Amino acid sequence: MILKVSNLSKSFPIENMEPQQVLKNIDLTIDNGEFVSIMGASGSGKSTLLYTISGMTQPTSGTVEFAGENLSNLSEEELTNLRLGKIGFVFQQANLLKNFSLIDNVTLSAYLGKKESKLKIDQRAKQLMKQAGVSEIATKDITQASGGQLQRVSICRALINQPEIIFGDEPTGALNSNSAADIMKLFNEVNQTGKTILLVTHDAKIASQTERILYMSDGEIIAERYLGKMTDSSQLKEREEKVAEWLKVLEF
Amino acid sequence: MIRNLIKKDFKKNKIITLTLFVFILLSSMLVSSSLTIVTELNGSLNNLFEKSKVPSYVQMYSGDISQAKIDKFTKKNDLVKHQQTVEMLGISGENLFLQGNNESEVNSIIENSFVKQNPSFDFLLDTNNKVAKIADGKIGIPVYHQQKYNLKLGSKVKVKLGDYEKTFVISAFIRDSQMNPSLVTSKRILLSSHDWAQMKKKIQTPEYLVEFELKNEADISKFEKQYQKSKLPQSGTALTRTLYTVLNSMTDGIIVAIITLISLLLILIAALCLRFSILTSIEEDYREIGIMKAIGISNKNTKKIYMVKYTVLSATACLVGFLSSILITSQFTKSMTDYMGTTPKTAISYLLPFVGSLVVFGLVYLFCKTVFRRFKKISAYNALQASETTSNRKIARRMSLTKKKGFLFGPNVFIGIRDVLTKIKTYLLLTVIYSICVFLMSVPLSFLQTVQSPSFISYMGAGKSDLRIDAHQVDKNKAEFQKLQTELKQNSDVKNLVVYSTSSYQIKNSDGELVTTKIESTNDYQTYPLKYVTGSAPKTANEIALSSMNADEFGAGVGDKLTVYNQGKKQKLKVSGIYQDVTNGGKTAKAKLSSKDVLWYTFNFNLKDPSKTDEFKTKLTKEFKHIKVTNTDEYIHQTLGGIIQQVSNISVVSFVLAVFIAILITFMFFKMTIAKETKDIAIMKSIGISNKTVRVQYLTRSVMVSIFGIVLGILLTNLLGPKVATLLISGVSNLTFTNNFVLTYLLIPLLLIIVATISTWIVSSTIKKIKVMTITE
Repeated sequence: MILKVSNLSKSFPIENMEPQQVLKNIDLTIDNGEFVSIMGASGSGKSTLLYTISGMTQPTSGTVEFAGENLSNLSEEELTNLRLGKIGFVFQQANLLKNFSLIDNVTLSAYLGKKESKLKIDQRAKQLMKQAGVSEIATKDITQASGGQLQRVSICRALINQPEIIFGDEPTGALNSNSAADIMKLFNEVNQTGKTILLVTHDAKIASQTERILYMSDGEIIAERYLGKMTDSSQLKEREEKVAEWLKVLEF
Repeated sequence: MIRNLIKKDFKKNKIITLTLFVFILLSSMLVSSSLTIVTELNGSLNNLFEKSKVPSYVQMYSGDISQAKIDKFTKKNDLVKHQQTVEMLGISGENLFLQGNNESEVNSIIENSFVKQNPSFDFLLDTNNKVAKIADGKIGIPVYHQQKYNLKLGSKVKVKLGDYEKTFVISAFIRDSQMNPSLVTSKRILLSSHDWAQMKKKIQTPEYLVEFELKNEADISKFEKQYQKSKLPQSGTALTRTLYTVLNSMTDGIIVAIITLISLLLILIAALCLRFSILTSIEEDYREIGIMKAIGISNKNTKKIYMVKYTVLSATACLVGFLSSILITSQFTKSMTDYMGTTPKTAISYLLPFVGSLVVFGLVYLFCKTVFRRFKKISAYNALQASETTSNRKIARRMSLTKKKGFLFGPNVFIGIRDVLTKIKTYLLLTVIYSICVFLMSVPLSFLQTVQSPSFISYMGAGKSDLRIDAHQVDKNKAEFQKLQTELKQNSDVKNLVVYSTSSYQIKNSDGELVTTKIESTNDYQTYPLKYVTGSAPKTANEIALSSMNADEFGAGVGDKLTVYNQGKKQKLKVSGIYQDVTNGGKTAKAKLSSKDVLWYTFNFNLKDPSKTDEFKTKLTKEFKHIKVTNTDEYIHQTLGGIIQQVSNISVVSFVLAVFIAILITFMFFKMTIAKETKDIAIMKSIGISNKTVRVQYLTRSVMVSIFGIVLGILLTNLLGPKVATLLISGVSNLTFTNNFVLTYLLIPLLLIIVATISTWIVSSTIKKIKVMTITE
């Protein structure tokens, strides 16, 4: 088990009003090497859950244990180190740094982490970018790449320090269907190497490619569906139909 | 709505708004202050000259005088309104005890003389600017001495001349329109007519001021020529009202010039900050501006919304600046008030400084309008599609992290340097600010050091030697002076003796008129050289060098030929150089001529052991009664003391101001930069880059930019500093700075780098507060 969430709640203060509770007493475990997606309507709390369990923001109550360590007990510096070495994050927008080339965006955190030689980092970045199909534009600026390409670069960036888990907040949300399919293909390949992946998505097609789907409503996980690993793309249609049916029941 | 907009903006950008406010305020305050000083200086000087009825023309003279001849000349001359001859009883320093105790003025270079109040003009005034009246047993002491020794009314002054000894009680401090400034080494002490007459019995060789008050001040130069043609006394220095104006305004004039210079630099800083602030807010609101354009709001109206903030800000700052100038000006005008008194404030004394502040406001307003022209360049489509990027892509590509083989100071420092180089335009503000700070710190200090340096005297008409002897009234004391020369030549302690003789010649001016001019001659102008404005000292007997005032008088430049009449013989001399001179009324010349009628000699020499200067001076003064011995270092100290003190005060203010500017602007700059780059910082944090690492990047940028600025500042200081200093002491040209290497090249840069580092480290602590979640906002 890589992640254990117990009784997790998160509230946001609102001026002159009662705090708004976005997450309510959530319990959740994620195993090593799992590929999990979180679904739910807008405002259901899925992104907040992702940011809270990835240590980007603190919970109001409850605990998040990452590889046996309670995130609430970690200092800011320890959390930073965790993000540097063990966690990769992919946002809905690629969020690359404007002043750097695509490959520099990938290598930056590894250089500054100073855990490996520059040569090793460069080699891995090139390999990752080749795998993601963006090696030809590696030295270009971010203004010279499409949305899909940028997102693939951001996945390479998330992978550069060989993290144990990758969190994705609607990573295909801003992309067209072809680009989204490419990204999911990449995630699947990464998962096959043993990395744990946790994605937030509102797209059933995307969720159907993951191993397990959690469904959230009003700050709680109200349902869970285990699909098993997708080993072949020919399984996709069948998995999509299963998910569609499941969602139909849930949403009514 | 506009009030809310401004309130909201102020809350959001407190530091930036305050910084802009402070700089505009300081600019307005200093412009107003310098105009107030000019107005007050003008008023005080006019008031002093009017109340004292300053003479139009004065001939100093020591020797026998025929008042009948002077009266005859005056009677015939239509230009003269009044004439009077002032008899001054000169007293040697060792006989005067200004501090009442047994400490005499033997080491002072000031030449004190006793006078009685004048009957018709050139009045000596008290501190109420009333004609001073001194009762028997009382004494009127010049303000210069009051300031120097902190004398009080009722203090005692002793005079001891052989068997004559008398103690006077100070009943007034004297403002003297002729001899007020510290640059003038003669001072007049006022006695009652009775006491003066008593003292005259003891002092047999008075000096005279042959004074003329003209009907029309515009005729001074016409009168001067008429006087020079007459057979009246000419061997001493001749002075005019114009020179009194210059001498009296010099110290305050320098203050005005320095304040004006600082205020101009502050306006420049304010403009640069405004530009940075405006461009940053445009960049921050790029999308909003695009939306406004897309929904059809015109450029003019968008500009108006943004202009409101800057108009209100600059108008308030200028108004507060003007009001604070009223409060602080008295600090700058204290010396002026002491020496010249004040005049009642008129409408113009407030109006002119107010107009100054208004001009600052106008400049700021126009500048903002110009910067906001950028709105025109923003297209709605681009603004909505992407955010503007200000970095230089070419440099960014060339400095790619992955292209580098390794990082000399680590990747973090490389990223900091890379950021500066790719955004040079953005960092230009800080670079210029740091170079201005170096300028503000170094120039007044270097100037101070230059003025304090003993060789500074060579810019003012006298060569630098350990001792200088002035031997006047040659006709009467020929034997004594010959003895002096022989002794000096034979004395083994003396080295490099050069004797200069000054005689009267006639030179034809550009109008063809003959003007009597005193020309100094020697065969050696190399041992104690002067600094020349242009050209050089005469090398042959056919050359002449002129003081600036004489060059103006003759309308002559280097290379021109002048006709000189030497004892009836006509000689054409080529002008070899022009130099600045404050000695002998400023109208002097130097050549290699010889004349039988020498008016005075000047001896310049060094001592083998310079520590014996004072001892040697005392020995000479005792042995030779008719000479004046000057220790050059002491001379500089006492004559330029006032200016040195003022420049020293300004250096301190300027130094502190520069540090304050560096801190404030560094704070403002990085506060705005961090605000602008919040999202990038959050991205870096999200990928595991620590706060400390990000802060080191900002620190690298700050140190690098400060180094750029410091190097630029040092270059500017060396290139422009002497020129600026030359402007401050108008006329002294080709000034070479006596730089303090350690201070200019080590301490100031080090201090500024420390300021940059500490300020950036403090301001970058806000990075800790940036949450990764900012990315999603």
